[in-house]
Amino acid sequence: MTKAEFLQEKGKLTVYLSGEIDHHGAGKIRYDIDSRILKAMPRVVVMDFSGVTFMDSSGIGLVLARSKVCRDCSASLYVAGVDRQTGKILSLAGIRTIQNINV
Amino acid sequence: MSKENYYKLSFPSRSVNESFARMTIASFCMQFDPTIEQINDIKTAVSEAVTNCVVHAYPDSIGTIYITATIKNGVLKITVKDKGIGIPDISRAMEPMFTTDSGSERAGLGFAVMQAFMDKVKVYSTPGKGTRVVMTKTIEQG
Repeated sequence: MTKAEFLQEKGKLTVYLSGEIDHHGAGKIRYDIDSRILKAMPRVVVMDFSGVTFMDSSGIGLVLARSKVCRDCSASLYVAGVDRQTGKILSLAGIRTIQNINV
Repeated sequence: MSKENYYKLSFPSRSVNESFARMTIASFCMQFDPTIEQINDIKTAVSEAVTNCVVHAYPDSIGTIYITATIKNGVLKITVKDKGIGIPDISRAMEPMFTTDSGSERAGLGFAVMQAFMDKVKVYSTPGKGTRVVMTKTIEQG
């Protein structure tokens, strides 16, 4: 079961992703993430992958499309909590990740 | 010691079956003591191939996806087949970032992932008849 949970603090919105991110699961959470970004209008959005147990290239699509949404809202997007397997996928698209983000 | 085994599976092209296809290939591979990384690589490649069938082979209908996996001499061979619309230009379809699916959020990296995670990927397709993706990976010393 793919899940997205949110933590909003000041200008930062953290999206905690968990479960399996595939074509089926990504389709279920993307609108939810976008509506939270548009509602919060944060300066920084962090997509945290630490709860993700499986991810295929749908995860790349999920990040790249959110980066467009963030650009439209003048927010910066960061990717965090990436393990070896999710990192292997994201690196194919040249997506770099961060360890910590303090705003 | 050389173990040989195989399975054949067919299921409708519903997106909920993407995870079913991953779980079955993972279960099949467990008997050969793969590493966690090998299992994840194989699951990811199968997920991409099955997603291609769901999204591209049968864009407006539900069709059947066929998976055959065989293991022989330590080499795993997975065939993912559909009887969908086919691919007119295979080399173009396999180019990274190329996608015909502009409406959704596909990154166009499905074949790139299969190639990165498996040893060999071959694609056979006839427009109007369907597509067959054959992937191999060595998972034990035979």
